[in-house]
Amino acid sequence: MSKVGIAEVQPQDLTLEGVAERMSKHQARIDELVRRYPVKRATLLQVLWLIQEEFGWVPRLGIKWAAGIAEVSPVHAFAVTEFYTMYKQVPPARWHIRVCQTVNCLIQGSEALIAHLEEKLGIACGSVTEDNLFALERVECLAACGNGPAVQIDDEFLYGPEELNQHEDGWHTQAADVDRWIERLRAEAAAHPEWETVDQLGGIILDSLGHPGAPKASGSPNQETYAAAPPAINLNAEGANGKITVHALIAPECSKLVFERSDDDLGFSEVGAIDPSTIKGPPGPKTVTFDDRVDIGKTVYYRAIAHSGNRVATPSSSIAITTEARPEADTEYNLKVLSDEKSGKENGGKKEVNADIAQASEKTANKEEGKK
Amino acid sequence: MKRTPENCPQVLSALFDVTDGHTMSVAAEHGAYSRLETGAGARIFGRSQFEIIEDVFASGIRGRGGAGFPTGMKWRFVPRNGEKPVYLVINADEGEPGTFKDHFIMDRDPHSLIEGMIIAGYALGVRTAYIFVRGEMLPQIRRLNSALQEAYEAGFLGENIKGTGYNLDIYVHRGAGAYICGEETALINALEGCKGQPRLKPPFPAISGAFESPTVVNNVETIAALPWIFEHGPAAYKALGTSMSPGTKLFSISGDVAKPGVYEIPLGMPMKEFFDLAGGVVGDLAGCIPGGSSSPVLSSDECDDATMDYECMKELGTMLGSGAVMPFNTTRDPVLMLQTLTRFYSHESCGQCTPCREGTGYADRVVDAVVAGKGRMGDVEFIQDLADQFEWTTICPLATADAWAIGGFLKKFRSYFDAYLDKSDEKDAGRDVASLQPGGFW
Amino acid sequence: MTDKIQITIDGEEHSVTPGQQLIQALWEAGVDTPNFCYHEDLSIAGNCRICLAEVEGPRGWGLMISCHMPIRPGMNVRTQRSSEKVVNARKGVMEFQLVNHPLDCPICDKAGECKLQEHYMSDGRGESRMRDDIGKQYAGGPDHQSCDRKGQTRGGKHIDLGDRVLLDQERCISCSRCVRFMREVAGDEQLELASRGDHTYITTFPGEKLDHEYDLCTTDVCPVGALTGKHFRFQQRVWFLKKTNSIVPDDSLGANITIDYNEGQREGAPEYGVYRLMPRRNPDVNKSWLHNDSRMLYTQLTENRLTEGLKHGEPCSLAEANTAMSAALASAKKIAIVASGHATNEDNAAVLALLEKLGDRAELFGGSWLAVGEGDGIARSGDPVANRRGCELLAIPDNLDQLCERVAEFDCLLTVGHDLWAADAEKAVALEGISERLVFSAWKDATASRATVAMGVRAWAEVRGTMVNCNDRIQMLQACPICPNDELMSIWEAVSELSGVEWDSAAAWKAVKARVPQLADVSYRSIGALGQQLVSEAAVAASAESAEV
Repeated sequence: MSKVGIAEVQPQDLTLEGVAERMSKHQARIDELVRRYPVKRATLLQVLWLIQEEFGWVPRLGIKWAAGIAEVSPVHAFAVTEFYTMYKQVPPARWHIRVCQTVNCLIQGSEALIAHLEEKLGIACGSVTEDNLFALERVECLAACGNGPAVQIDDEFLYGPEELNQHEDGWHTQAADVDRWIERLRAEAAAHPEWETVDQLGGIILDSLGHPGAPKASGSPNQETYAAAPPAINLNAEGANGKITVHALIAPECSKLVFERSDDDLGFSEVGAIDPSTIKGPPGPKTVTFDDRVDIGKTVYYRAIAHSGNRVATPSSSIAITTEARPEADTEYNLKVLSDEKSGKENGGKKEVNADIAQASEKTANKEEGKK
Repeated sequence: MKRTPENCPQVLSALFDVTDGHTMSVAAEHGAYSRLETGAGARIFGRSQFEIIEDVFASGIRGRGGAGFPTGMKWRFVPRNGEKPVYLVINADEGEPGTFKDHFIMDRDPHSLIEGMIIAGYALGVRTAYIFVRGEMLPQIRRLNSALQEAYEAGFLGENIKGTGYNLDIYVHRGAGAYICGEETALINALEGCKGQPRLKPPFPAISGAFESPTVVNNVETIAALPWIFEHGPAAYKALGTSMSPGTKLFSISGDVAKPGVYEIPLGMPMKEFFDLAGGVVGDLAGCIPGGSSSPVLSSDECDDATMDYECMKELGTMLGSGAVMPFNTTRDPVLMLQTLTRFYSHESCGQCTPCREGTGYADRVVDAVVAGKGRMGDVEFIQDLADQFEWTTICPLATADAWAIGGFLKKFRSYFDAYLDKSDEKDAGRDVASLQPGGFW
Repeated sequence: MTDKIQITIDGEEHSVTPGQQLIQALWEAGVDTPNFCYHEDLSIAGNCRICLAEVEGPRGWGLMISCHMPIRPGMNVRTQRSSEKVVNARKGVMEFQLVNHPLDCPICDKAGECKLQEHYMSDGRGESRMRDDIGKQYAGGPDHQSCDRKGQTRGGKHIDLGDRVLLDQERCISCSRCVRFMREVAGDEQLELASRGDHTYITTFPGEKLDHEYDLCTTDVCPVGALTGKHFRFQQRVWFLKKTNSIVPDDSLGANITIDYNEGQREGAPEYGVYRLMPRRNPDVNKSWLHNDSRMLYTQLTENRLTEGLKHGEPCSLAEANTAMSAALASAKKIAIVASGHATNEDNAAVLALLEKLGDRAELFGGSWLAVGEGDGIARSGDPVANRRGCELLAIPDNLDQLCERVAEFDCLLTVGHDLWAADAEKAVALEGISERLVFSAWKDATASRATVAMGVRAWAEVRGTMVNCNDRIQMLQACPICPNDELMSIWEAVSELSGVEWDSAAAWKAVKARVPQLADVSYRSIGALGQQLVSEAAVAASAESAEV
């Protein structure tokens, strides 16, 4: 709608106290809004909606009053009101018809529909009918392209033949449908001259505990221990000639990772611990490696236990590995990881890394060939 | 309505065609909130935050808002040192021309979003989460609020959820009409009660976002996919789609197709097959905007070989974006289509950066002149040059999106523009003489 | 001092100060980089995009704004000197800046010091591609919009934004400097950019006025002619103005300023005079800010000046006044000399020299009756006695009240650059009990009018000298060559003449140094434009001790 003349349409008899008085009936919602955010400023958009609900539009004193509630400067609130397109800064018509003009709706016939509506209502887009019942506006995408050309009457979408907001797939707005609605609304206006207000916040919950620390809020913050301590995951092992390297992925908060070994997957004992802070890398999860030596040909089991401060996570699932002798090349190794048939314990049982075997031996073979 | 191809699981759209699927009772029958069960076999509660984040990482799901950033990666960046609260903000400021998938989720399956938010909140240590819904979607806000009410009543929200000691509140925040609030830092500004203008980065929201605290901004669709991922496991999700673009995605298709609407298809599906799923193109295909208005348009030839995934679109010099597919046939006028787009971007420019504030509007006025029959020879190059000048020179990608839209249309539908110029009365007018006359401007 | 770091600019290695943004490093390395929104004393907005430079990152070269790019060692940068891309990007930004900017430079008061003009010359396209038939989108608020005779919607022109500032909405380039100044520095958000896109305009809350003690600073930070000060508007084209560095004389923080003056074609020509005081950036003192009251001090340079001598209120020549003063001093039995915290150290040193010459017949008094207020943390300490600290260093006592009690002991009073009657007339009335009252003053003020002999001297803008601010920083006033009467002397000149010695400027400064140990390593040159921090008395004593050992 045209903005020229906004200063002239401000109600002359309205005062800041008058706004406060009219807004007092919305106090429960305002209290709820203040509870929701850590800073009052964040309520600004919502309070402006309440002003629009109460007045039908946003008079400048309303902006100022909202600024007081949100504890921002009046000019900040004014700039915000000017920035967003949906705050009406002039007294509105009873029904606001928005027609999308963006690309999909153009393809689907928005220009024809707008021309039809302009003729039907006898006004150009951007203006109000003489009886002040309808305002017609071209808008950008309404995110209802599937039923294009998208039409909104006040806040309700027209995307079905019968009721507003009754969604029907593949239905397209036709001129006749909008005509029917206009007639229906005209009849409604004749029957009920008083305007109805619509809850502009869509029925917010009124008794939330609120953001911890916010005014009038009673919500309490989360305890750090609500979730389990982060375990080590993705345990993996490789090795040959008795040398074994174990990999594990740990959380950034992990402060110590203990590796344990067992011969029988039952009695584990610690074989080493690693301080992740010594591992360089970007913030985030870290991959920890641990080197160990065992007798060639022996099958051993590893698991890792992650400590985060004084919290100890449940042990990771264990992994079994058997090293084989590869005398032809001491530095190159073949690896064979046995999958444990007894899986099914906690944390999803054993890790299988058989898929890696073929790949690894292939690599080894290639390297050897290259040497020759 | 058939929304998925054969053999594709309905990750997101399962409840779209179920009567009253937006209510708790019906949604629960279809498994809503079952992922939040406690005790043996618990998928969320009782596990560590780290494992859940790594599961999301392992699923390979990428942000569905347009940029396609891996969600698990985004979550990994969030500091968990407890110094500042972490916020989860859902981006439901759906406004990319052609996109209406989040509209569907909020309308028909709000509980999947809420359940996904509880999962994400638990993983990220969130106490307070917000759903930022664009101002035009009041009916969807009402749906969300009543769904939230049901979730509170069922004990899935509030304090000590299901006896786990975890507290979470979710609030709906109504926007007030600004496309740019779909950009995550602009959205955070709007949430904080400011003008929705994008912020300079760094710092990124994951480090300092809403209320100067770590903030994760995720699209509705991304979060709504989480319940399925934790129901079937990350590996099952990753098995869908392609290796680089795992999973399924909702596509909103409108324009010249027989059955416009929201479809769920695995990523990597050939575009032509997707058109067929949506009832086929009406008329002869002239081109297609593949991922919302910001993505450069594809000619009909390019559509033949295109597949619906991030990588193929990138190869074609366009993008999958928000998954808004707009095929149009040969009866349409690409010049008028571009005009609506340049108008859109100049209208939605937040007014912060010079190139976008002044450039998008200027380019729009030149396009208007061409459409009005006042084009001059060389205007196509001129518009393209203006577009090049505001591509990648601003804080956020809005101007770049406009430049891409312009570049796509000018390149692939050049002949239409030339036809306008040929008919112009002023096609031979000079560019510089009148502007130098005194009083030319003031 | 922190170690410099190496960065590569256009293939050349440069060492620059770490911890700053690239734009500052470029300036430091001598690479001209344009800026509109970037201001060193405001937060970074990064919205004008003119300072784009190419920076090498992990994904190759990319255009980045240099004002939001912290420098790091080894950084590789290309500027307009080696990168066509940078040149073109800046041309693009300049073109867009001007698309909707009125071309009214001939009637714009900012012309000559307008960043838009400067950068159009350095970085602009040169040739206009503007399509006249397309028209402009002039930004303007709904309350001030109008339609011109061509049907073009126009933004507000010369909007009365407040008592001191006028706004031209069309000229605004939405850099948000004034918004950030009011929000961050003044702490009182009264300006905002409203609406969006190319409709963005700057405004106060509708119907409210811009009103803040520092609101004229918004006209300084405004890079274009959108915000202009009413006091300077249409007074003078800036290219006729010359600048003299100085400090403000009405506050003990000593905010750094330039005195902008026009020497005129000839003396007495209408344009001859001081036209404005502008804040001069000093990061350690006043940053870039200046209090409105300090800024308006230039008006007193022409008002009510004492350009000659006064004997019992009757005008006389300077020479006559000098003779009368000498005679009065010679015949007086007991003289009270009041040194001043409003005068420079050099002035006070001359007073001290006179005191010593007069010996037992004279006694020194000092201090001020002016009320000391609170500092505002911006550019004022709240203490109106600018050189109070300098007086302390020169061991001038703070004992004016004692003088009032002891008036009966004295038959002659000499005051120097200090309007005692204006400061506290109730207390000062006691001083009228001293029969002979000699005054050096630049103005026909209350004290001068009560003098038996008054002699005009140069005002603060017309002298060279030093003052020490409340944070122990010695700073210089420089003489701007605009003086209502060239015969006038500085206080130290007049006083030293009275004591019969012919001091020159060097002698005056030497006299100051001789009395203050902390000034041992200080010279006019070392003070420079930005002043010099004095070491504490304890440190001086310690170093003296160690020297003895």
